[in-house]
Amino acid sequence: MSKQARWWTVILLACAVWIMPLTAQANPSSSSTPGQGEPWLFLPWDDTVGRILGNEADSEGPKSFAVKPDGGVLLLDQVNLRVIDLDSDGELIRYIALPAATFDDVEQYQDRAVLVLDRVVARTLLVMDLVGTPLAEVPLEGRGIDHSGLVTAMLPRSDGIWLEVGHRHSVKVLDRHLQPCTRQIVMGRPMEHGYSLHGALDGHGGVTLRRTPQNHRATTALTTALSGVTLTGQAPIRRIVWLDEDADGAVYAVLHEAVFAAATPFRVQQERYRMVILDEQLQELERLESPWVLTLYNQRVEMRVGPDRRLWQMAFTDDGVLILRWEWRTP
Amino acid sequence: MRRLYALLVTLVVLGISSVSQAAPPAEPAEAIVCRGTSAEGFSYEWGGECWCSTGCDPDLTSCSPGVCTPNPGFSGCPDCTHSGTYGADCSGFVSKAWQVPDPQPTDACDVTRYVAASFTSDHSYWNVVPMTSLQPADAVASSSHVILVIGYEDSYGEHEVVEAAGCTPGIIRHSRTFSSSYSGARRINLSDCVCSDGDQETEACGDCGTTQRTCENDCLWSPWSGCTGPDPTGAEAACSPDGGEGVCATGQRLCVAGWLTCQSASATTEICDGLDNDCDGVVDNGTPESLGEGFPCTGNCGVGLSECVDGVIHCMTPGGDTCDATDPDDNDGKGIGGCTCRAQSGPGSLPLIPFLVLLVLLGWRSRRK
Repeated sequence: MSKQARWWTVILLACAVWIMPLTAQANPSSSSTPGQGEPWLFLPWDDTVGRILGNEADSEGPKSFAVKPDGGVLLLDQVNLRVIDLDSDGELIRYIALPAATFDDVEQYQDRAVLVLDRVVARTLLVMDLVGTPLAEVPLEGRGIDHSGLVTAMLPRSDGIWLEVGHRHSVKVLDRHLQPCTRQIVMGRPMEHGYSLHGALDGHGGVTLRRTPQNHRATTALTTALSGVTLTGQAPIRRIVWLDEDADGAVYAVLHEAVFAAATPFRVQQERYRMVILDEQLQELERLESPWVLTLYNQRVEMRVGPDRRLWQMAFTDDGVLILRWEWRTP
Repeated sequence: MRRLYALLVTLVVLGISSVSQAAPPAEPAEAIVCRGTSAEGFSYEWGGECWCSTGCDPDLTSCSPGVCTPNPGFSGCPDCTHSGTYGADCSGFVSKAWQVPDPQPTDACDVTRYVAASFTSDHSYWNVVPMTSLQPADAVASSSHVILVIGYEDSYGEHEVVEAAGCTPGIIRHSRTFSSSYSGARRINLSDCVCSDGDQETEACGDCGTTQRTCENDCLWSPWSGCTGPDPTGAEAACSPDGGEGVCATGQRLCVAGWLTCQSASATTEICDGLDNDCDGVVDNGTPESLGEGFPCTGNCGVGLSECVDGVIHCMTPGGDTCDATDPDDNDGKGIGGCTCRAQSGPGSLPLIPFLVLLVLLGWRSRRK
């Protein structure tokens, strides 16, 4: 090969490498990868994790879990009045004692605090250090939160702790120093760098997603630019299970698809979770699907976005609690 | 107690299914929702079905809400102990809210009622409805639990409900989802139409908002709209966000979801401009890339690298001097007198031309060697 031909080869290869990722983004995957979740940990019922089998009452398993910044997991075992603190290998670090069995969400704030939320009985947010020493207890109801039962998510962000209300707006209840602050309110779910994510069922079996500057006031031009995307599935989407973004700004939408019989008693015929990963501009990057869906056990949080840019799922089987990780290929 | 309850429920279900009873009262869905919300805060009592209400609110003053305690070694009922007169389990609560099989005041205890599984199939007093068409006053039931829906589906597909959830939480009101183990049910004799075309209602909400509903199809109220209101203007609009630093220390007061809030200016990527763009309390502390530092640059006085100094990008020579056109060449590390070689400032201004010049210079030098 002549020197000139080698140069042309190098130039063409460079162009190809430059074009390839753009092409991949412009043509998002149209097919889904079926259940390829990696089981991370299994915890059997009763021996390790508590449950209540409802008898003229609700059935409960762990209502929430959180993925820690170091890749470990906090599992809210509220039936046993504790949080199970696991390291990144799934080994037990400690049990963190809870003062009541009515907590229904757990999160970790950086490497500083464990947060547990009781929406309906104590109606407080309890802040503890990483070994469970109580640091503060914050009443939920106040500006922005008329009724704490309508809190629909707890969102730790670099600027503090936010609570989402009715999947509509979010209220900052603790600042970055974990101190109560003048409550700030934004529409949607606050993300980093001054943005919010907005998700909504569109009434036609799809979901619309928008990513906007926080509390933006729409002008015609801005509205057009922020019109967002509509996601559809292989079956009508009935519920947005989880919506969040990772540290790189990739957006993760977990959607419950279900088909019901047309005649009484209208039983479900098929259902699954569709996981859609999008970039900052809401261009679709990849789709995955999980056969694990909500069971009879009431559960507040089923999915989380981990620091490893994977989706983590807490699913319930007949025998216990299964924690899975869902990996998607790097765009 | 357990045997008594089981026997009672069996008799009730058998009796009701074989004997035609009076139909539940004709009333709007709102009356059922009102009865349901009035139970919030009362205890869970396995086999119970009564509580005290004042309008749509619970009356926790005149009546003790009761206490349910799981027996030692158990987490819920029926292995539990209840104290107090009032309380309800899930099916007792829904039966009373729905006024089935007979209309009874909420504080009437020990009256006939259904069990949760009854609500999973059609009945003379209710019909099974698709889970995709739930409305306020509907019930959602499984073989072991039944819940009263009090709100329309929200934007994520969840509903506001009231339920006698269990011994520890009691009767609670919250937003939740339902697995496919549940089916929907709608009571009969709901008043068909409760409003007329053109009817509109407005309520205040939050501290700056209002919410409205309108009559749809000359018959039923629409869901309440989201709470919104106008943003303050003029002098009222300026505010200082709590703990805001840098550019985030200034803000604008807005009415968001019906609540006044101080929206700070958005944190952005730190650039070299003498401002704390990312609101972390430190000026110009971004990465070299964001600040525009470390790029080869050149000017009248030689080749160097760009550096952010006092909010402006300077071209620093290897010795540390920078050319600022004013400083004499006094080896004070600040510049060479008389030259003007300040690089373009600001992010994103990749000094491509100086970089190419540097490459040419380096190439020329290596060829000379």
